[in-house]
This record gives sequence, structure tokens and C-alpha cells, in this order.
Amino acid sequence: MSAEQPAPNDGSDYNESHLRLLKGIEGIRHRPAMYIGDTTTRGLHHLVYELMDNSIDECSAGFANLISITIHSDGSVSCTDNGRGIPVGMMESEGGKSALEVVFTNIHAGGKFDREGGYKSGTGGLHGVGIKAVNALSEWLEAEIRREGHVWTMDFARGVPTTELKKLGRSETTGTKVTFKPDSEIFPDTKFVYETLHNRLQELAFLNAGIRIRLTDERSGEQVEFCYPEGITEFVRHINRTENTLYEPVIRLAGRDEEHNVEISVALQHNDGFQENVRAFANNVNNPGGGTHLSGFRAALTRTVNNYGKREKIFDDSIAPTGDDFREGLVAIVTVRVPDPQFEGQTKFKLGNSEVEGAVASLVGEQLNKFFEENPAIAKKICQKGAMAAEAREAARKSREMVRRKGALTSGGLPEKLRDCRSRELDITELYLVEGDSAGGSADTGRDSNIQAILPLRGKILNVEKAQIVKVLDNAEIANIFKAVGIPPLAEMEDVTKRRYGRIVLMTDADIDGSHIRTLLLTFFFRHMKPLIEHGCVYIAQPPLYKVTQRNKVRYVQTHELMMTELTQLGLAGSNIICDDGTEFSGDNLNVIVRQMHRIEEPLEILERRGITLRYLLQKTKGAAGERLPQYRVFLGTEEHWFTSKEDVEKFVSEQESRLGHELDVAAELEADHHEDRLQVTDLHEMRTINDCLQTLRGYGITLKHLIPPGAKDGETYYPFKIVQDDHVVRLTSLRDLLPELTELGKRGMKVTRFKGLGEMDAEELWETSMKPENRTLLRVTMDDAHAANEMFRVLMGDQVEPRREFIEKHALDVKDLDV
Amino acid sequence: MIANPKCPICGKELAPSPTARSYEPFCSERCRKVDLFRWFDGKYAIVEPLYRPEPEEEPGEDIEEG
Repeated sequence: MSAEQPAPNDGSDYNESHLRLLKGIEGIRHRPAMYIGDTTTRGLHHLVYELMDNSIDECSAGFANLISITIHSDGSVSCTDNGRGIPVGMMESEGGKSALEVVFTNIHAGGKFDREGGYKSGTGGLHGVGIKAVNALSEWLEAEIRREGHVWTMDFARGVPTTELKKLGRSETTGTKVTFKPDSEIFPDTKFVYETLHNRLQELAFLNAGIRIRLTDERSGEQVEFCYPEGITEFVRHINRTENTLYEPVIRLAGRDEEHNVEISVALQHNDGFQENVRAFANNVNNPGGGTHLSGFRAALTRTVNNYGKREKIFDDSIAPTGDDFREGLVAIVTVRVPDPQFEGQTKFKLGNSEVEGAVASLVGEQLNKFFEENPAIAKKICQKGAMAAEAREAARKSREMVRRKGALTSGGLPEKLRDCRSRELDITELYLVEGDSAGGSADTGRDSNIQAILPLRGKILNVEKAQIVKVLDNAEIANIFKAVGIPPLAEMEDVTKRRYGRIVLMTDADIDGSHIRTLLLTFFFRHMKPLIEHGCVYIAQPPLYKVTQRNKVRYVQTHELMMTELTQLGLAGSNIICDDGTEFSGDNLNVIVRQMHRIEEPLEILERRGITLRYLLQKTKGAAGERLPQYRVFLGTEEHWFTSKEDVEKFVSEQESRLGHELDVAAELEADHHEDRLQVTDLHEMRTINDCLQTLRGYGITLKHLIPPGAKDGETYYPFKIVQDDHVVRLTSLRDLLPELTELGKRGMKVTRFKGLGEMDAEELWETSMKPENRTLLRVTMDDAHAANEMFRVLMGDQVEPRREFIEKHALDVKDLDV
Repeated sequence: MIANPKCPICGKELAPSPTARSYEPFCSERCRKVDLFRWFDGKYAIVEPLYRPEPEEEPGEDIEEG
């Protein structure tokens, strides 16, 4: 064997280093999976990442800022960077080989083992294996180095040099370009996929803020360049781009553990979904199996959110969120740089450095806690999200349990309270859900027991707190409804045909409590037995509100409006109104006045509930009785002004602003007190109707002051008006008493009973009015009705203050109406 | 534009496509379950003040254990 007579391919050139090289290459080619994971498409692309790791390390160390990957038409790939270039000098210790050759051929040799080489800490390339593995698994590989004023090249085939290191020419720039074609003897499929590289390259650009990474595909002409100055913050935004985020901004936590020389950087943000998407990286390398950095992050997140939630009383004793619960909808990037990373396998599946866990946990815990203290609104959202997840987990568990205990809610017998009917034909059977046990009793007695079944429901009214009425549907009733209807909870939606009755009829009191119970029931049906509503199986019974007895004849009146109209008409028949100035109204004139008084009453009451009485208005508007009432109430500080038009308000504001020399602060919409110099404009829409009515009334000589009781005169109540009907005279202090007094007059000679609830009807009355098919009116519930009930339920339950106030103000009128 | 309805449990906007609406008014089976168990736990109540609500009435106190 002689080195002086090189004779390639005849087997005579074996020397010690050559033998080692071939053994090394043989090792890689024999068992590639040990080095690149596998030889599938995944392993194939891993070759590119191995090369890129080296370029990224150059970037991390501050020597490069641009990396370019090109897929060539022949299926080869180039990886180019503008770093320092791989050294090309001769290495005495390696038998005079160039450093370049050593880097590409000698297993377990490379710059990364030499800390003086410029790499500070935390390089991704490891074991000195990556670049040699790429070389060994390539049909051919060309290295082109720009360094020391020249361009250098060297070619390899399947890991073995095929040329010497050659100096090609001069170059001012520096950098490394490696082009390789994967060996089809190793890889069944050698086709690089643009999308795959695109995703990984973008990821690397996110992880290395400010680095430019370019990908070119010469096969298709596609090209893209990534550069993210904000790094992993933009990574989190990118993942969340299709989601609704729970809060802004992305939370950033970063720092360095000096003791272990670990750099940590974390970005996180929750979205409203349920998936967890946390990606962990060590030294730029994704660790799909996680490892110590991920476990440290998770532990700290769980502990911090839990502590905060308990401290701020967001979690009560009934909720015990676990770590998983806090990670629903969590998007996070956890990155560490470690000087001596220990990975499982060359594919860096999982990080093993034990010191990283504590370092990450303490930094994340400390900084996240600080963030929560400074951003309580965001902290609360994260805690609530966790509480919701815990509740969902519990619900899912109970639901499984319920399905297991089959008897409990399905086949296991009917509710005790159910009074079933004899027929089983869906075409004719009906289930009445009746509010209240006593009404249930009457319905039971009165029904047609062949086709009508009765389930009494208890809508519990609790008077729990100071000024609140709380109405609930007793929880046992929910189970009873499922059992009676015969559709199990969370049933598949096709199960409507399995229901036990053709129609479900909701029968609740005609008052506001009844309407609330009905809203509860409708919401429940909509949410959990929607197909019943979609198929038009749910109805609302219309029990009457009034019973009228006249000359021993009994009839029923359905609604308050109908009753009032009837009574007013009766009261008007043959009536005159006589004013104190002698004016008389009767007939059509009187009808017009009654109509206007009917129209004006509701807006007047709304104003009064806002604390604006007619007396106050008269005083504030300086008795502008003959003109329109102002619609805009303006407070500037505590100073009150009234205006009739928006233009006047604007004029006033601009005058004040030029007087004060600055723009006026507008008070928050719901602000109650009148801050100094703050502008508060209230548009009283009700005034439109009031003005409208007043205008008509003025045509009859009636003005605002006729709607206000004049008070006492000579120590006695003064009555400016009287109603005369036949021989009856009723005195009025103001015209606002007109309607109530007319209805009172209308009641003469008849007995009007208002049913306070279904319970006040006896069995026969209930049957005659609400259950007897020939007499009753049933309203079929449509999806629109159900949607409306669902919305109303949300308003009554929910936390939107303003809609609920409007709703209650509107219904407060109804409540008042009840006292007629 | 009319806003899409929101899931009563998690507040997520429901997608306009009919397939995504199969759990309506919920966004998912999961939220449907949560709702069901709120009914069973008697957590749903209609709360109504006896008097006119004070302007500084606090939101969020409406859900009472039943």
C-alpha cells in the first residue's frame, strides 16, 4: 500500500483515515434512520433541515442574515447562506486534509465542538453528524465556499470526495452553498415537496427574528421570502390568524437563566377554540415530543393561572380546573437555547436537559404572574376559559355516566307526576306541560284522558335576595320532561319520531311569571329538543285572562288589550266629558281624545320612570305649553338644558366649546352622575309620540296642563273634568284619569274576574277554555319564536345591562297593567 | 350586515354555513353538553329586580345556584 501511487477503485488506497471514513459512511448508509429518523419523505426533507441548521447557527451567531433554499429542476437542492463560509485551510491533525473535507466526511468532527469557533451557545447542529449524513446519503454533493477572497469548491459522491478542494476564482463576499441530490438507492422517493419546505422555512423565520429566508422552486417558478422582525410573536399571530383571539396582545415572556446559561423566550395567546397548539423548540429545532422546556412551561402556566383564579375568586369550590383546562385554545411558542442540548435521537424529537425544566418554570411563573397583575382583564379571561373547560369536562363525564345508567332518564319508567293518556297514536295524542301543581290537578280532572296527558311542572319562584325575584325550573323537572316526552338527553336529532306524544303543549299562566316560565321552557326545548320545534310539534295554549259574567252568562276574554278595548267602548257609550270652562266633548271628538290619551300614556310613563314628570317638564321648558316639548336633554356638568332639535344641540355644543376653548368630554353612556364639564346628551325618543299626541289634542283645546292634576283648591281636591254617562258622574283631576275611569264605567252591570293564574280556574273552566279542541286556540311554536325565546332568555339571564333594563321597563308596564 | 348569532355558552360566533349550525344555538356538542348540565344543576334562573334597576347595577350576578 503506497500513498505515492494513488490508484482509485482498485482497493489499494486504504489507509487508516480512509478506512474510518468508509466505515463511517457505510454506517450512515446502512442505517440512515439512526441519523435522519427514516428514509420516507420526512427523512428526505430532513436533509435540507440538517444543512439549514448549520446556516441558522451562522445567523444566530450574528455572521449571516440571509439563507436561500433552491429546489432545482433536476431534483437537487441548494442551501446558501451569507455567513463566514466553512473553513478551507489544511488541518495537520487530520493528515493534511482541508477543514472543508473534514467537515463533510469525518463523523464526529465539526466546528460546533469548538466553542472558540464563534458559536456562543445553543447551536442546533449536534453530534457533528448532520452535514456528513447529508453527504453520505447524497448521490452527489457540491460544496461551494466563498471565503478569504476566493471561491472554493469540492465535490463528493455518496460521502466520498470525487475532486480535490479547488480554488475557482476571486470573491469579495463570504458564504456557504451546498447543493446535493439525494440518493435514490436510499430514498424510495427523492422528490422534494415545496409546501413541506415552505412550512419549515417559515417556521425557522419566525424563530429567528429578523433573518431572511428565501425559498425558490425552479421546477414551478414559485418563490417566497420570509422575514419576521417580531419573531415568535408573529408566529403566534400566524397560527391564530384564522381563530378568534381571546385577548390582545400576544403575551411575551423572555429572559435568561444565568446559572445554567439557558435563554428562554415564550409567546402565547388564547383563542376561543378548544385545541391546544403549543410548540416547543430547542436551539431552533422543533421537538414534537416536547421535553423539559415544554413540561416546565406547562407546570408554570397551570400553577400561575390556578393561583390567580383562586386568589381573585374566579374559581369557586365547584370548579377544579386541571392543566389541560387552561390549555384549551392556547397557542404558544416555547423556545430555549441550551449550550449542550440533549435530544432523543438525531431527529431531536424530545429535549432531555433536566436543568431546563426548572429554568423555564421559574421564568414563566414569575413573568406571567407579573403580567396578570398588570393585566387583570386578560388574566380573568384566561381563568374563565379554564373554568369553562373544566365545566365542559365535567359535563362530558356526567353525560357518559348518564348514558351508562340507561334506566335513569330513558326506559326507566315515566315520571310519577305524569298523568298519561290511553292512546299511543302520535296523530292524536297531546302532552300538556302545565305550570303549577294545582293547575295540573284541574287539567287532570278536566282533560280528555284518551288523548291528553298532563305533566305538572313546578316553576319555582324564589325570593332570594333583597330586591330580586329568581325564577327557576326545578331541576327534577328537566328530567321529568325528558322522560315524559320520551327523547333521551343529547339524543341524535333524528329521534323525533320516538316521542311519546304527537303534540307538546305548554300551558302557563297568562301573567308575567307565566311568560317567564314559558320562556324558560321554550329555550329548553329549542336548545335540547330542537327537532320537535322544527317539526312543529310544540304548541302554546292560550288560557284566557278574564272571565266576564253578565246576566248569568259567562264568557272569557283572552288578553288584557281585548278586555280594555271592550270596557272602554262600554264606558264611552253615551258619555260626555265636561270641562270646568264648560267645554263638552262627546261622540267622535271624544273617541279621538280617548285614542290620543291611550297613545300618550305609555311614553309618559317611560319618562316618569326616568324621573321626568310632566310637572318637571312644564317647569323646565318654562311653560311652553303651546309648543313642542323638547326631545333632547343635555347636561353640561350639573347644568341642565333642553333642546327640540339635534341642530340646536350641536349649536349649543359648539358655542360651549368655543367659550371653553377645548372640546367637551362626552360622558360614558351609562354614567349616572354628572361630572364637571362633561357633556351628556339624552335623546328622549318618547317625546316624538308625546308631541304628536299633544298636537292633535291642541286641536281640541287640550294642552299639557290638562294632563297634570292642579292639586287642591280651597283645601279641597279640584276636579277640572267630569264624565257623565246616563245618570252617572265621575270626576277627574286630570285627563290621564280618563281611560281608567272609562273602563270602570264600562264594568257597570258585569262581573269581570281576572285569573291570577291557571290555578284559579276549575277543571271545567280549564277544559272549556284551553283544552277542549273545539274551543281552544293553540299557537304553534315556530323556529322564529324559539329563537326569540332563546334571545329573551339570554337577556334575562345575561350580563348585558342595557337590553335587560329596556326589557324590564317594557314589561314593568305589563306588570302595572295586571293591577287593573 | 346582520351579525351571526353567538353560542350562548362560549360566546363564539356561529359560522353561517348550515352544517356548522347543526348544534344551533350552540357552536359544538361540547357547549350543548355544558348547557344541558346547567339545566340539570338548576343553574338557570330568570332574575328580575322587584323594583326599577339601579343605574350602577352590576352585570354578571345573574346566574344563581338554583
